[in-house]
Amino acid sequence: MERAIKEEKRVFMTGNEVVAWGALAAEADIMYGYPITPQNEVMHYWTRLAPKHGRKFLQTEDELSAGFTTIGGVLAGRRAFTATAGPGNILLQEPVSMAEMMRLPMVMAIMQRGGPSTATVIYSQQEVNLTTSGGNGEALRIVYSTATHQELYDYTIKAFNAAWKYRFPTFILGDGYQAKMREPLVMYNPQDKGVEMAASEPFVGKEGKFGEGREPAHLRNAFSMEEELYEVVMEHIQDYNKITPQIVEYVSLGCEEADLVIVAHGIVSRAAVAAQEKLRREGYRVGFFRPITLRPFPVRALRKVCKSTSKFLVVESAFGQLARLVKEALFGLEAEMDEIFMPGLGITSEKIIGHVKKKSELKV
Amino acid sequence: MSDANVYAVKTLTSKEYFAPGHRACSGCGQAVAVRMVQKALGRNIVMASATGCMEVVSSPFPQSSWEVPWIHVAFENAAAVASGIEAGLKAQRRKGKIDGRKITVVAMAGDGGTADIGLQALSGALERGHDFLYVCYDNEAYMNTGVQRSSATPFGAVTTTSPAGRVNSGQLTWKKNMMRITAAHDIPYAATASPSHPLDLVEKVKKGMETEGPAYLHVLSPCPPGWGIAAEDSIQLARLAVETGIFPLYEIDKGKHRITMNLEKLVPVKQYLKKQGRFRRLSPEMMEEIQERVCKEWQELREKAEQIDPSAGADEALSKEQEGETEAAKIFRVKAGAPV
Repeated sequence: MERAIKEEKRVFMTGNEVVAWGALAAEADIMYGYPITPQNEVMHYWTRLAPKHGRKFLQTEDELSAGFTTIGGVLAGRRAFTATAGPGNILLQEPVSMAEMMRLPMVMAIMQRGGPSTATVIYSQQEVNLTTSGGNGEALRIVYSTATHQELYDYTIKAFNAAWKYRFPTFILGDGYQAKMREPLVMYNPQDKGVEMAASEPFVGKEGKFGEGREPAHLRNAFSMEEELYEVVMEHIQDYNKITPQIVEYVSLGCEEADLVIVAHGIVSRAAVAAQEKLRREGYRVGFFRPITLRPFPVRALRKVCKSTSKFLVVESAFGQLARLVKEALFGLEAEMDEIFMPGLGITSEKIIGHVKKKSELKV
Repeated sequence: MSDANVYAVKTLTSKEYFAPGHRACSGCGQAVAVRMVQKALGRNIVMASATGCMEVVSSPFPQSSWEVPWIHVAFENAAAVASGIEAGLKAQRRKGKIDGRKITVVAMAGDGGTADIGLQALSGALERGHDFLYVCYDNEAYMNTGVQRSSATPFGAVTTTSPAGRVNSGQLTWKKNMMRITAAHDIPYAATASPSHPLDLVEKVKKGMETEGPAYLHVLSPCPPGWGIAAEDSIQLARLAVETGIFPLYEIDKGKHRITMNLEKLVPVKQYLKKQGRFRRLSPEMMEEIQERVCKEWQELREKAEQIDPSAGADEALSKEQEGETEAAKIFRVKAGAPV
C-alpha cells in the first residue's frame, strides 16, 4: 500500500482530522460511518482523503449498520473502522458484542458527548461504562482513552495494530473537545518509527482449498449448547487475560511519595497533571495516575500505588464511571476515595487545586 | 389552482401553533411548511418528533415554538413513539379517562429520520395500522449534522460525504422513493406536498387527519445552506421541483393515484438544477440522465393515475384467463381441490 504520509511533519488540526489521518497512516482500507455530532468531520475528511490514497468510504443507514458493515469489511480482510458518538455508540454495541465473540478486529473511534440527550454534542466522559462494557458478553475489548491530539494519532495507529494482532475489537475513546479542537502534533509514517504493522488477512474467501494446506474457515456466532458457549467464552477470556500485560498502559507521576493520588483519564487528565505539578510546587505531596487503557484496566499498577498511598481523588466528566473501574481494581485493599464528578462539564486544574486545598488536611 | 395558492394562507386560521422566534435559518423551506401543516392540524393534536433540524431550532429550552403537546425523543423512533401515544390514548378512551373527541396523533421527522434510521419504526407503525399522521420533511440530506448524504439525497447532489472529485460528482444513487415504500404497506392515505403549494398542502394534511388508520405525508423542504441556494429562492425552488416533475404533487388515496397538481408540460430539469450549488458539478450527461428519469417516472405516475377504475383492469384479466389459464393458476386450482 502506498504510504499516506511521506515524511514526518508538524501540523495543526482538529481531532477528527487527526483520526482520519491516523487511520490513513495505519493503512485502513475503508471507513463505514453514519452522521452524528461530534464525529462528523472524521467522515468529511476521510471522504476527501480516501480517494486520493485508494481507500474507500461507505455511509450506512444507521450505526447498527455501520458496525455490521465494519464487520463485513473485516471478514473480507480489510482494515475497516467506524466512528461515532453518544446514541450511535449505543447502537454500535450489538456489532461489537458479536465481534468480541467472533474475535473480529474491528476498530472504532468514539467522540464522547453529553447524555442521554440529543442536543448536548459538545463534550463529556459519560461513555466509559458503555465503551468498556456495553455489550451482552464479557467485555473482551480494548479501549484507549486519549488526552492529546498527538495521542489521538498514535493510538489510532496502535488501535489497528492491536486489533489485528490480538483479534479483539478496539476503541479509541476521545471526546467532543478533542474532536473539534485544533492542536499541534507531529504526523509520521509508523513504519519509519519502527512500529510493527500487524498484518490483516481475510476471514472468509481465503486463498486455496481447505484441507489442502489450510484449515477450513469456520466462523460461528451461534451456539446450540450452553456448555459449548462456556468453553468458547472461557478460551477468549484466557486469551484476553494472557495478553493484558502487553496491552495495559498508564501514566504514574510521583505516586511513590504522595499523600494523595489524583486519578483521571482522557482530556481531564491534562487538568489533573497540571494540578498535580502546581500542588507539588506549592509543597503538597500529590501524585497523579492516569489509565490510558480503560479496558483492560491497569489493575496491578494501581494496586501497587495503593500500597504506598491509599488516598485517591477521582476526577472525571461523568458521575463515577471511572471511579467504578478504580474501585473494582482496588477491591480488597484499604483505600479512601474522594471525587470530583461533573457529568458533561469540563474540569480545570484550578478546580482540582481548589478542591484539594479545601478538602484535604494535607499540609505544606 | 396555482393562483388560488397565493391567497391560500388567508383561508387558514390566523392562530399560530408553530410560534415565530425559532432558530431556523432564513429561507428555511421546512419552517414554512411546518407552520402551514400546524395551522391545518390545529390544537387537538399530540406530536412526536424525531431528532433533526426542526427539533433543534424549535425547542432550545426554556423556549419552544410548539403551541401544542409536542415531544422529542430520539432519532429513529418518531413513528414508534407516535404508535405508543395512539395506543395509549385508545386505552385511556376505553377506560373513560378522556372524552371521546378526536385527538390526532402526529409524527414528524426529516428524510434521515424517515428513510434511513427511522424506516424500521415507520414500517412497523404502518403495518400495525395505528391511526396517526406521519409527516416527513424532506430536505434531502442530514442538514443538522453538516450536510451528509441520506438515502433521500438526489442523484448528482454534492454533500460532505458524497463530495465532488475528479471521478465522481456527488451522490451516485437515486433518491429512495418513500411514497412507493409507504404505499406498499397498503395504508389508506399517502401524499406528497410542497410549501410552494399551500392550498394543496393544507388539503392533504386535513385528509390525512380524517383518514382512519395511518396516513403519510412527504413534504419537500428546500434548505438554503444545504442546497446552496439564496434564502429568498427556497419557495421558488420548491415550486420548480414540482413543475419540473422532480417532485410531483400527488396522493394515493385507498390505492388510487391522483395527481393533484397536473402539469401540461414539464419544465426542463436544468432550470431547477442550475440554481443550486449542490448540482454545480453536474456533467451534461448526468443532467441528461436526470431528465430522462424524471420523464419516465412522470409518465409512470400518469399511467397509474389514469387507471382510476380498478374493475376495468379486472375485466381484462378475466378475459385473458378464459383464453388460456396460466400455469400458476392451474397449480393453484389443483391444490385447492377444484376441478381442472
